[in-house]
Amino acid sequence: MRGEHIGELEELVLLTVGSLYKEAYAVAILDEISENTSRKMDVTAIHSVLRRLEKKGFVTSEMGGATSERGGRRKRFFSLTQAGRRVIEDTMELRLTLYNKLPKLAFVSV
Amino acid sequence: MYHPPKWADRFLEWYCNPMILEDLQGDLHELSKRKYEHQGRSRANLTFIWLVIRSFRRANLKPTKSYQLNAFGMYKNYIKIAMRSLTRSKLYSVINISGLAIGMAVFMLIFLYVKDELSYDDYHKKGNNIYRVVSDLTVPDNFFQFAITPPHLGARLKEDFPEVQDFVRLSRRRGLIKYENQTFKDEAGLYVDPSFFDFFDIPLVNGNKQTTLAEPLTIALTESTAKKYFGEDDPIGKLLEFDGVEQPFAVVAVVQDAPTNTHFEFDYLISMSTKESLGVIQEGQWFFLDYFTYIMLPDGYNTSELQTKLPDFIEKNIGDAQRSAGQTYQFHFQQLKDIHLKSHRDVEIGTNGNMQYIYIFSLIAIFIVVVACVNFMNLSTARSSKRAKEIGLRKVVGAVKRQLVAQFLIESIVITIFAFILALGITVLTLPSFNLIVTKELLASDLFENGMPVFWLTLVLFTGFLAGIYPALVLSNFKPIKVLRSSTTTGRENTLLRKVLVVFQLIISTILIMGTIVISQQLHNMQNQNLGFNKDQMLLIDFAYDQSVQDRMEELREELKKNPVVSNVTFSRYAPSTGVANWYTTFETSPGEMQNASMYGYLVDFDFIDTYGLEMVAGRAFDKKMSTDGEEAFIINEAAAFKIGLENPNDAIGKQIGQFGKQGKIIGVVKNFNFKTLHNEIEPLVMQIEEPQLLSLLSIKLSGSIQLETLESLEDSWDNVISSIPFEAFFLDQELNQRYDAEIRTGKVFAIFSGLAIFIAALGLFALSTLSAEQQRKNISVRKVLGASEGGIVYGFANQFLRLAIIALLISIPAAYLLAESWLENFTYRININLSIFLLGGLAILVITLLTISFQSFRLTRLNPAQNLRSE
Repeated sequence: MRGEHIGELEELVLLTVGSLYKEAYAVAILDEISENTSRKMDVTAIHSVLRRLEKKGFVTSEMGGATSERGGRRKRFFSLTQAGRRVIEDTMELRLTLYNKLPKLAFVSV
Repeated sequence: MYHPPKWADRFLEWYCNPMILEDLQGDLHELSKRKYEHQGRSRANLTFIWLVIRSFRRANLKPTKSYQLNAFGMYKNYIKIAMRSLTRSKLYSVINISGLAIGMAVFMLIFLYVKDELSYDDYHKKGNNIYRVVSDLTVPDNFFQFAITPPHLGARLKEDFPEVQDFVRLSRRRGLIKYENQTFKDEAGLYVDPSFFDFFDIPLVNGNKQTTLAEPLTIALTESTAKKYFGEDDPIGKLLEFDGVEQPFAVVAVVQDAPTNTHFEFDYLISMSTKESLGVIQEGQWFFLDYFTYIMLPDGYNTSELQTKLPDFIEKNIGDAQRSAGQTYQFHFQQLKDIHLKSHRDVEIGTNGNMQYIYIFSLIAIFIVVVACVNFMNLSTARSSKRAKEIGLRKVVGAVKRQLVAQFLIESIVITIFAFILALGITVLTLPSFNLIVTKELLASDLFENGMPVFWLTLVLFTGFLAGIYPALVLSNFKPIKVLRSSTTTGRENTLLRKVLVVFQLIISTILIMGTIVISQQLHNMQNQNLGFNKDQMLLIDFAYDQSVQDRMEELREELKKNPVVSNVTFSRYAPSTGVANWYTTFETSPGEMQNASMYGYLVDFDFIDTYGLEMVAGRAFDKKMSTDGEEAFIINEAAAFKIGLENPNDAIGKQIGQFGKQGKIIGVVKNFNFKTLHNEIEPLVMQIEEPQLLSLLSIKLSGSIQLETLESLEDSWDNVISSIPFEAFFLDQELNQRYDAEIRTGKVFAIFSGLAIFIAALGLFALSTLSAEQQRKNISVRKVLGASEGGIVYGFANQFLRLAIIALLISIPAAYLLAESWLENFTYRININLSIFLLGGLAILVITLLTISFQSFRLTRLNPAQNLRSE
């Protein structure tokens, strides 16, 4: 954990990439997120988050096959890297640790 | 089938980074298509356009500068490697950088000098319309080229020619100025017409441009003079006294100090009408030259037009005067800007420069920069074998030739920048001493005046490019396979070119060394020449015709003679260190027949000949006991006797002669003595006794050792008699040496440049010896293995360079001889060029050559053959 912070949106996208497994490209990620949350966002935001994550080494990408609905353009599929996986787990662990302390803290404070 | 709007699509393609275009575009198409299926075309179009606009953000843009950004890393690497290779071989870097730096510093100094010389009088707004009129005067058997003209020339030109719009006269004054009980002595004054301020852009601090200096007895001071006289007081309205003028002068204006790049100097200006009101200027004074005349001509006027009208003008105005005096005038016009560098007439208004020196200096500047570049080039190429592996490796990992050339050019530009900074430091540090030598006030800040930074940047880049391009091309041509396999590789090509360049440098250095020797010998010769009079222990005081001194001459003489160290005292006008006037002289050639000529004249007293130790070759000296000596006795020198046409000086005794308004007889002939400088042949001179009021110089001959107390006691004696002016004396021999200032200065400049040229040539030699030592490593290794002695190796190596030095010597000896001859022609009393000059110069250059290459040759003797032959 050397200061590899990821933001809330980044975490969301990272999780989505992980959960979509093999089918994670920008439009699918957008759909998935808007289905599961009430956030309103557009595809450009997803693109920039993905590029940021890729730069940090949490996801990798490769070009998939062409489809006619995109005018013959290929999709860029993203997948989690080891580092990406670890950062999700670290974040989750941190949340859980803090979450587990929550009742006690509440108790004490009352 | 849905298609998003074409223009939006094209806009996206235009701005978007190609790396992400495909999937982004695909996503946008997919989303808008989905919209189309649910909500129709227009909503889909809107969505698409919206998304295209939203995607227009920095992260998605085409990286327009991505190529440079990449290469920047390489440039950083080049500079880093340049620094490393600089620090790895410190000696070579120091030599390389200091060589270039010295070259550039010389360039900067000369640049400042030349710039200043060329800037003379370029600040006058009407400068292009101003011409100075100068006169050529033909007198019986003599011809003068004067810068001065008669007093009425300007006014007549303006009357007769409409194109002469205006004129101004300048006339010099030197003498005392008194304010209350202070006396000021050394100021330079100018009488000027009021139009002075229309001609020259020397602004008035206060006062009216039209009326200032119109009235007689008015004076304008420069700011610094005003400060010197009156401190912080307001100078306007103050009254100053001039000796010889009864009425006081009123200060009417203060002017700014004239810029130093003006061809005349002054501390105060007096109205020309003063001279008229005092009767100094009178009608018909056509042969009284004391005025510098400037005229104003229309724009683009060609002076040759005026020149063609001059004969008629001269005939009309001066024709009769010319015929009765037997003298004829010609006038010429000089452009104001040309005066400083191109006018070398008799009686100039200030010390002028010399265009020839400008050319010589500029040539030297360019020569030194070029040679420094050539040396840098040689040294870098010579050092290239150390870089061969680096280049090989760079090529192997994919560097192309263009990049390698760029690398070496950048390296050489980095070094040039270092050298430039160093050169600036050298220039700033040496400028004060350089100023002393050239007697100027150059400022280092002028190096960065308007537009100059661009010039220096260009110079640095150009020099860096020039110095780096050859090694860059040679080095980038290395074959990687060769350089990586064997231990050393060096370009073999063009050693002939390098040798020629080194020989060329050696030639220049040899000529400069020999020139320095010739100049110093000649200076020594002049300073020790027997001048024909006592110059040692002679103290002179110029009392500038001060009346209180003239009135009490005998009293002063007696008072001074009370000092035991004073052996003789004389009063005169002119002495061997001062200027001397040339007067109309009549003399008897055969009984009753008079002729005339112009001869120099000394006005002296009875003690002059004795005091100066002049030797009589015929007749007798002036004698107080002879009552007629004060009235009609003349003594001439041998040259004058010869001019009169007398082979034997004794024949001159008793002959009639007249000069300076006096008629009389020759009573003696004095042996020739050098009353002018050693540049000239001794000319005819006539001496006569004159009244005190015509004399202005006091000469005191001392004997025995002179101490500070001696001068103090003399000063006390002076103060006992004279209260009006201070005791300010100078020694004759020192004053005489000052007349050879120009030669001494040339000598110094020559010595400095020879030193630098030798240093730079030594660098060149060093570079060449390094290069050839690198090339001969294997050769020498084989010799060593076969049993060559150390002495043999050193001899063999040194031999190649001695041969170059000898070739240089053979070429430079005749060149140096011719140049020295032409310089010595300026002197009547000159040394003869002897063998020692060439022997000394030749020896010097050979020793320098051997010393320079000794470093490399001794390295070669210590070389380990095993290391050099291993890779074969």
